[in-house]
Amino acid sequence: MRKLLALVVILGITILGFSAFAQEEPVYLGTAIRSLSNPYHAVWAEGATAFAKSLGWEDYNVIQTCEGSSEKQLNDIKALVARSQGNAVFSIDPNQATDTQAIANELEKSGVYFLTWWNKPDEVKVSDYKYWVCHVTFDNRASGYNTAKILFDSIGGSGKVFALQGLLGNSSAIERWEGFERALAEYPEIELVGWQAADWEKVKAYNQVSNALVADPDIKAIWCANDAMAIGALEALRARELIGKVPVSGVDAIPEMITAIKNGEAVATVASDAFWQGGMGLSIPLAAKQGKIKVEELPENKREWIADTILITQENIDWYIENYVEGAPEYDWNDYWGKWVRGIRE
Amino acid sequence: MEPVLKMENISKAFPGVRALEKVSIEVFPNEIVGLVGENGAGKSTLMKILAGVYRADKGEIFLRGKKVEIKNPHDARALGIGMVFQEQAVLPNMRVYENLFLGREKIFARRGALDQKLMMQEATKILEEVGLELSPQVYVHELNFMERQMVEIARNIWLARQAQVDYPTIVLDEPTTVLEEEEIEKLFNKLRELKKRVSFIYISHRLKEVVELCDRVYVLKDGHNAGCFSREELSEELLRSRMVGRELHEEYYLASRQRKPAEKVVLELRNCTKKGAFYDISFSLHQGEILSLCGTVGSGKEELCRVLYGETKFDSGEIWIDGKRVSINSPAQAFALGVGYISEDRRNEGLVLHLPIFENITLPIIHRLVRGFLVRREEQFRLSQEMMNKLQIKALSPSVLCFNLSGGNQQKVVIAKWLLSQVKVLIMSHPTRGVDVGAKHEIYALIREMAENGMAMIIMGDSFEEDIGLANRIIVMKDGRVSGVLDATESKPAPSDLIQYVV
Amino acid sequence: METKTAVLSDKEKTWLSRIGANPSLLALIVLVIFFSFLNPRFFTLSNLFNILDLASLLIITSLSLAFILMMGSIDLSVEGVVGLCSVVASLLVKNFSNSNDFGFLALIICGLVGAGFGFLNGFILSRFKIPSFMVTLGIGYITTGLGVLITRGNPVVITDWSFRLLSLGKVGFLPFPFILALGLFFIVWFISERTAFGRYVLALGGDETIVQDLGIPTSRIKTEAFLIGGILYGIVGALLTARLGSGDITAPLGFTFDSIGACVLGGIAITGGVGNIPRAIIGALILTVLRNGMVLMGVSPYVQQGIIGVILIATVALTIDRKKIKIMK
Repeated sequence: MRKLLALVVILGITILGFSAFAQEEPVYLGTAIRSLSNPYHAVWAEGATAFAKSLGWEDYNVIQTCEGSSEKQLNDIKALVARSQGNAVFSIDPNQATDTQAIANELEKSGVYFLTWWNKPDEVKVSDYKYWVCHVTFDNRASGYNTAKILFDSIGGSGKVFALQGLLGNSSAIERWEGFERALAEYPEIELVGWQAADWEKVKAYNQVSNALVADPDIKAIWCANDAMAIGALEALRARELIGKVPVSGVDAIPEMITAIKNGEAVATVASDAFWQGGMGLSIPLAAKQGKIKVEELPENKREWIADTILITQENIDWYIENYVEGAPEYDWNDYWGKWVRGIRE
Repeated sequence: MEPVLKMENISKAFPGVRALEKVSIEVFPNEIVGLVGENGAGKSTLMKILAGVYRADKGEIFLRGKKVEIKNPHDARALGIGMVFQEQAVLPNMRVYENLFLGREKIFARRGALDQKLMMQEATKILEEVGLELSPQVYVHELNFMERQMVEIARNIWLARQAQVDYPTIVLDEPTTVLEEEEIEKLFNKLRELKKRVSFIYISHRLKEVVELCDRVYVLKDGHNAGCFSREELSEELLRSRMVGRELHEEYYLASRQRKPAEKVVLELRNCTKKGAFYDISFSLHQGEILSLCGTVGSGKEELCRVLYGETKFDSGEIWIDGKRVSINSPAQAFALGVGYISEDRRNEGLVLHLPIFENITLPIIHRLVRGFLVRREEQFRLSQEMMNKLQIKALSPSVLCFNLSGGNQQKVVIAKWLLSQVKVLIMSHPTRGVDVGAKHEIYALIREMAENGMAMIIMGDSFEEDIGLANRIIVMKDGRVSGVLDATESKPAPSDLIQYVV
Repeated sequence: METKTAVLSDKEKTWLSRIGANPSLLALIVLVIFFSFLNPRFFTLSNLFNILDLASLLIITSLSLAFILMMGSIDLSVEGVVGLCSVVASLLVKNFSNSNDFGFLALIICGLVGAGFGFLNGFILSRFKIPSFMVTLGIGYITTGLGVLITRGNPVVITDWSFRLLSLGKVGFLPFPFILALGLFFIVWFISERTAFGRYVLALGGDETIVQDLGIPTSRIKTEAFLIGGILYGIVGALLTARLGSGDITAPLGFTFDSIGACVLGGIAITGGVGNIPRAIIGALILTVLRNGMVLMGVSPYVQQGIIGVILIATVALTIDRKKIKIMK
């Protein structure tokens, strides 16, 4: 029995030694996101590529898009694991929150380190897994709350407001809406005259806002749960010659929205910094694979945590454009916890 | 006189089959030429060669004395040869005038736009010519079957004229199948009128009509000419014997096998009324009895049958089966009560054409063949093979798709299905429609056998002769009411006895 | 001899009897009256122009779908082709990404690009005999993919303000897109009713084999119908860019099913062979009025989609040609 144990220990050490030796060998960097057809994920992919370049591993940088299919996402991940014979790390934006567990089980089985973003079921615990390094998300409630406050302040804290929700039932939509409602409660002079769902889309937002302006011509401001809808709202305002007179807010910091804020047409948005997500999503699991991060030693609140966002307003728009639009942001990819705010469960 | 059309020594072979062997026909002006033969005798192959669908291996076609080559349907049309098939080639979703000129609109175009006024004028003219009194604006789906046929005939005449052919030849394929007696008479009058400017080739299984209408009749048998008879010689018996090649004995409907029905009443109707369809219908059906329902379309007989097999419901009255009062709300319920139905439209209603024979035969009883979750396929096969042998269904195996069977064999599959499911009452609408003489005979034999085994049947036959020949009893309906009940067990009434109740 | 005549010739028909014979038009009128009673703001000039503005893009795509549905086909490439043409338009006019400045010529080029993909749809489906829903779905993916490839997913922001007048401009009070939609409607209507090609489209929807047997070139007609559809999508793509100020491959999400829905609401049978072009415009207006009216009434957003769904199913149930579909699978 003792001999057997010794054997296992020796074997283990040998394997560890080999993997330590293999540190300089390139590792496949898998990024699994939904699609490249939206600016958010497009910037994300740029961040991932920048990270791969910083290591000189461009050829090992693999961007996978699932185009709304959970099954495709899982299959793509499996395929890369097989191709790299397990020599890979993953940064994953799951197609649906409920997919997280299946992906986690698959990668855990193959011993591949990975990090997930945005949504996962509450009951699934990262600390139950060895290779699932972190789950990182952003505070949607704070985004909804902060943009609403700036919007309300921009009309002097009183007047009629209209709001556009995202896809009803979607968890980001629900959380941002909760933040909006919290802000609303703090401003008794603000009257919410109506809200509609525009499913995160520009054209639907254009239509909904056009109709809302007929229903209530003295709407003073419009809150939107994301920037695409905010752009639709802005164009509806433009068609009715109200642009610049009715402030609009959004979330996501897409380029059009940055321009709109710069032009004084919109007042607020929130950047989750997709470029940073793209790079850091790979850097952290790679650090775990290379032993720079000891997963089992990480406290609970660093396994599931909330990352900092950038609130963009009229006040900091020039700074944002200078540092994030015109100049590519410089990141220290080894600063793993730079944007750490708090644990999810805190 | 010179023939308008002459097909000489036409031969055609398909892989494994000699479809036509030196067949010749001639069509003269002002005549309606009948073309009869059993299914597979070569009628349709011959006509398809004429229409340019097939090309003959050997033989020649002359039009007005000139030899012609018909390579495709387009050529045929350009030569003034038109086809009117049972599956109508009109578009119900378009207006009559649009149908008439479909594909030839160019001549009505003014700078790309169609001159609808001109089209309408032209259409009115042609419709008048064929004696069809309707507005060219009407949608075709509003027309009845015969009117649609007339529209097709009108189109063929017009197309021929466009091709500079004054005297076209039009082939009519089974034009009376779905027509009622009075409509057939109307159609015949129109054809007799039209033969002043058109020659017709008339294909039909209904020999009585062929005898009544045609000036001359060609009989085909197994791809050969089997005789040509002038009007004076014509008789149904003659044609029938030439078609099958044997004299049909008088026992065409197997009257000698007729049995007196049992005392036991299986189905009884009491004062059944469905407003607008039939009123106050009462009768009882005995075990082993064959009951014919006669009457024109609109007499209420179809509606009555639809009620019996559960497709619609009546407004008042009672149905009793085996001495118990029942209500029938769906075909499934009817089947559970032992009532089966054989539709005249077996392609759509009676059979799942793309399923094999065995699946079709065992469909209603499939729940009896289930073990666990699985259907016992070998049992399906065994039962189907048994039925196929019994009914002489001609197919290589039970797994042949019904799609590939002839009309007669398809009908037998439908009958086999109900035989196997042991229904007590079988309602049959036109059981021998579109079936050739030989197969008809076999179906009659089957009906007799089913009666002997105690099945009660309600039949709506294809002709009065059939109704009279098969039935124990005939109920005639007129305007939704029973207008007469005739006994046919002891002695057979004559069709003339029947007709007085019908109209 | 019993004779059948058309109930009334077109000239004899009164407006009232025409409305009565067209349940969709009736439904539209009832909706308008209903919403007018519930909210005084509904029946105002400003809302009328608002509705016409919102309906205009849908009207144009529905014109195309009307043609294609009447033919018995379906087109699922609307979103892809419109989105790609929107991107193409944005790259041709003055924009942030390149130095092009084609101005209004971009509208025509978009029409041509759309026509190209429409032709591809029609050509592939008639040449290789593939069901239209598969081919158009494929072309939809391909065009979306091309759009993503060109833009890397980023909307192309345009700076050509005169081009934006295509959407923002007005003639009198009428929004320009609606005038364009109306013009296209008359052209397509004329093609459908008064040309042989238009009638063949309807005939094809009735029974393709009959049409083929009469020697009519069915493949060419299908190709042409899809080509016309493509031109319309191209125009919508350009309009969309003018409307949103950017070319965006994802912007037309939902256009396909809205257009099919509009046609169905207008009474065009998805089984083909039944319908006419005005029904598309009526359907598009019904859908737009319904959405506008529900917002004005304050109907909860949670049930709005559901209401439209119920109305859609009910209309299909009323218009579908059951003789054609014996069994729905």
